[in-house]
Amino acid sequence: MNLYIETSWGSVNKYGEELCGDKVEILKKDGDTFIVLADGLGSGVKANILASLTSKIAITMLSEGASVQDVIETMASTLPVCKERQIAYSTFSFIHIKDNGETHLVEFDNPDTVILRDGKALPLPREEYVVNGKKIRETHITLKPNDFCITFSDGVVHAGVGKLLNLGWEHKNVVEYIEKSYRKESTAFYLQNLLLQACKSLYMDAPGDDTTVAICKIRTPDIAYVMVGPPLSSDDDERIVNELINFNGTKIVCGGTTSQIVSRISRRELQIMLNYISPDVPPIGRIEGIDLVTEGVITLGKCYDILKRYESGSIGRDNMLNSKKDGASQLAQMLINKCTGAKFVIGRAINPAHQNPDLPISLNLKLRLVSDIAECLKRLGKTVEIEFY
Amino acid sequence: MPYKTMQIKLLNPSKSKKALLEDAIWRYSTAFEILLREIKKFLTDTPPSKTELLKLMDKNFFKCVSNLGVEPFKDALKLDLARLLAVYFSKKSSYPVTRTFDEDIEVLLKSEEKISKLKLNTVFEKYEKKRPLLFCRFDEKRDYSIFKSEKGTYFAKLYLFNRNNAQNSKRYAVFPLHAAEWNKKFLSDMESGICTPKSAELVRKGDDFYLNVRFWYPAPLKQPFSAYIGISRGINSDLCYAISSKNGEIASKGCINISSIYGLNKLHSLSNEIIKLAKENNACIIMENLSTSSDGLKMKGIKLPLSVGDYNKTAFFVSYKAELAGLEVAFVSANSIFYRCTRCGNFKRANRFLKDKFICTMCGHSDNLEEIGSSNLAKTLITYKNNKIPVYYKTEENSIIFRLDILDYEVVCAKSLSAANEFCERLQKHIALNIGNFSKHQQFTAKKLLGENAFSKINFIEIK
Ligand SMILES: [Zn+2]
Repeated sequence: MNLYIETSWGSVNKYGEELCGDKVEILKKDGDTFIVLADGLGSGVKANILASLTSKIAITMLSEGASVQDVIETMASTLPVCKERQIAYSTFSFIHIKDNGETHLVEFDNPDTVILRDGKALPLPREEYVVNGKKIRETHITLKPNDFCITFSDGVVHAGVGKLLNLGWEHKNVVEYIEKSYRKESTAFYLQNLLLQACKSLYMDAPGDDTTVAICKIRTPDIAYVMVGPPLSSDDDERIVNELINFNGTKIVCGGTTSQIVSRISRRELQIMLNYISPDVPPIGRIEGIDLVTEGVITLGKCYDILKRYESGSIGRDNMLNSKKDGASQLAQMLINKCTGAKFVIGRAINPAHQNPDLPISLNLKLRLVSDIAECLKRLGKTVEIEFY
Repeated sequence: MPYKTMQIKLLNPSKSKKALLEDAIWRYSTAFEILLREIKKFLTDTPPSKTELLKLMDKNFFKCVSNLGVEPFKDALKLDLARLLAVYFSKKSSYPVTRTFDEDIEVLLKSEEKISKLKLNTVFEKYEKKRPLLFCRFDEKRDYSIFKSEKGTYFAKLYLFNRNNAQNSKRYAVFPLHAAEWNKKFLSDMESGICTPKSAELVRKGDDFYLNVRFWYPAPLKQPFSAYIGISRGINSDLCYAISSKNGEIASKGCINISSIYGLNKLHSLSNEIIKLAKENNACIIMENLSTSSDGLKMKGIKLPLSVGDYNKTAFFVSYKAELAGLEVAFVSANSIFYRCTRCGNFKRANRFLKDKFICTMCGHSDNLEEIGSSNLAKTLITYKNNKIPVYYKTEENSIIFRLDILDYEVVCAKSLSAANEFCERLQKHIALNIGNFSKHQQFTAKKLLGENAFSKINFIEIK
């Protein structure tokens, strides 16, 4: 099975610095996922340049199959040298995950990468060798669905030094914290953001070092089948409903008439749920075997708002996403948290309810909304497909 | 209600006056013990109510002490007896003895039975023991009163005699008082009506006589507070505090440490610091209820500076000092206060980290563990206020039944997308019509549901 690799990374800069001395590069190519996290010596502009160059060189060369030795040698000859200390230096971690889970890990002086399986850190079989006088560590391991691969810069390990914690956080405590906060359903972004927030808090919002976290979550693909609106020809109703019912993944129905069609054809009762009342989003329904049943256009519009805010937000965007339970929020949560991709099946029949001249909602708007949502999901790393009937 | 007692010395009574006082105390004490023994005859195992007790102590009841001239003390004796019996019934110990007489010793000596040491001790210790003479009310025409002469001297007017043994045909005697500086504070409060004199006791100490006067100070009107101050136990400090605004923002945090003094004095100092902080911030004090809940702060390998007992004592001091200062105090459950994240509300044991640190496993918020408790306390009442009201509903074939337990209100609405709207409208009408009949508790809920945002205050829960 082809696994889905969900990635997320984030940084907080050293207090008062405009530029970050850590850099993360992520490359997805032919089912392979490559990640480099580089930490440039010092901070500010120079560290930023060192880290950017290192990550660029590493990801380009390693993804093309160059050996680690080649990469180190290239770096040594390319990187600018620090005038005072006569060294050019940037530590890095490199992760290559194939879509069958096979993983290659290269670590050069960065804090140990953590692999989390069932909430516990796995002991890694690391191989150590020296290239150009520098200690390199390599690991080969096969990751399974729901494993997390977590890598971070020095700033995480030192979080809290001289502030809340005398000695800083220390690697073992970071691992313990990750283990304690583990939830199977957490997204890569959630854990990444959580770790960064914890660091920021330990630094009392004034980090003493650039702090970066990059996380991959290995996932079994879970595609959402989203049926929006009744098909133009009612002859298609039965076929599409059957496709929905038998779909291997998450099943979502958007639209009042659409949900009635699904209920009628599948002979399953449509219930109206009042658990999560919101003044501006219509209530959701429930049909046995369907993961989510919502109203159509208003809900899709609100859902798009949430997705946009999620995409542009950083801190607190998970809270924003997960804080409400109305139809639009549940739809956005499913698409972001649960699903690795989506298949939108759009019916083009005009909803009689929307032909009311007081409600200027056209089919056009519905199509626009779905394609906007699709684009947004693509940018969030999901695979998206759209079909019309 | 806060009472304060003032002891004031009677200014050098003459020999004859001393004899009068001594005699009055003797008569009172003797009568008290006789009555105490007399009433025992009428008591059963069940404690009598106040009215039953008063019925027992009627005119006939006092016949047994008619030769002692205790008519002026009649009401005081009744009150004094009732108080002692209340203590007896609440403790269920052996029947009280306040005084023993010659006859008791004679009985004891003549007794053939073996006498227990306890009994022997009681009889001898209480032999001719004097009881403070109680005056049960401040009144110029009976019991006792205090007045000031034109020259500024204070006098006590004590009703000590009945018609037969009246002195110079007066049933009272007047005694000058020795008013020390601190006595004058009370007396001037009394004159200006700040406090009210209640009962008083006449006691003898060595060769001097004193009057212990109880004053009642009405509690100052409670100021509406503008903040909350949470007080929790600390790990490195005796106590930690956090001050939160009314909308839940923590404005300041800190610790309270008293290191140079120990025992109850230390706890008093701690409570004074709390009162001071609450006053400065015009804050409602929120403390842990450690008698019925645990704060879970204890952990192997750490010794906490303040024990649960000490915290409870401090809390007790705070509660009465706050009353005097016109401050509000609330005691809330201590459960989870050191494990609940102050930023996101996540509650997990795993949030505790390295003995005295806190890092939330949901949002990453970190802090010193001891500061988490007081911050949570400071915000407790705010969260209470924001809690949503549960409304249960059940979907039937064509209808939805809504039920609001607190108001005992149930209504059936047609099954449609606007059912909840319909429910809210009908609920509001119901409240408007019936609010006068609701209990206080119900009114609190009902008021939340009036107004435009009723929807957002309800948590709809489906029942199957
Ligand atoms: Zn939290």
